[in-house]
Amino acid sequence: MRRPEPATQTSEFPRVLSALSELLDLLGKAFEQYNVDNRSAFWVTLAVEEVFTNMIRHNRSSDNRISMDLDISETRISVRLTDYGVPPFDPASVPEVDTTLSAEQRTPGGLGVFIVRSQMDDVAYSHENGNLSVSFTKYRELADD
Amino acid sequence: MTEDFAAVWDSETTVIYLSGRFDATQVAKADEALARADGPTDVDFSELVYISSAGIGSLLATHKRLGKSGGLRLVNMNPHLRELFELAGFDTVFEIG
Repeated sequence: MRRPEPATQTSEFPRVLSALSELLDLLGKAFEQYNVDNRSAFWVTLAVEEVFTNMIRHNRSSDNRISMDLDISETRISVRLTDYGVPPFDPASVPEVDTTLSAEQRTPGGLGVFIVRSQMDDVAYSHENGNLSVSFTKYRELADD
Repeated sequence: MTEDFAAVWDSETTVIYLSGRFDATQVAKADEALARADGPTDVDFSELVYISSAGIGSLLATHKRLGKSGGLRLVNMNPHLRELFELAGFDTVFEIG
C-alpha cells in the first residue's frame, strides 16, 4: 500500500463552539489516514478540544479565527493552536486541579490545562506580536489496542 | 472518532445510553436525557468513544442534582475513558461499574 505523504496541514476555524465539530472531524480523518493508535488519537483530540474551547472562552471580545497546525509523522503527532490578537496568557497562573475533592466540591474547570500538562509529551506556550500559540506533541504508541 | 453523538433515556430500565463523541457541542443533547433522571441512574458508556470536560461537567451537574436521592453510576466505560476519569479523580466522584 502506498504510504501517505507526511501530514502537515494548517486550518482555520471561526471562534464559535459549533466549529469544534469540523475541527474534531478533521482530526479524526487525519488520524485514520495515518493509522494513529486509538489511545494517542483520544488524548490528542481531548487536548485540542480543551485548548480550543479555552481560547474561545477566555477571549470573548475577539472575532479572529483560531488556526491549527497539525503535523503527523510515524512517531509523533504535533499540534499548534494559535489565537490572534489576544492578551498574554500565563499557564502557570492556572491552579493545579485538585483531583481529591468530593463530588460537591468538584468542577470540570481547569481540566484542559491539566490534560495538556499530564498527557502531552512536549508543551510550549508562546505569545508573540499579540498572538498566543499553544503547541504540544504526543509520541505515538507502538501498537494499537 | 467521528461518530454522531446520541443520548437515549430508557424509561423502562432508567438507563441513559450514550454513544459516539460527547464533545462540547453535544451538551444540550445530553442534558435533555440527563434531565429525565430523578433517582439512581446508570449511564451506559459502552458505545461512547470520547468525552471532554464539557461532557464530564454535564454528568457532574446531574450527579450533584440527584444528591442524596442517588447519583449516576457510569457503566461499561472503555479503557481510554476510564483512564481519563481515573487520572482526573472522577472515579471517586462517580461510581464506575
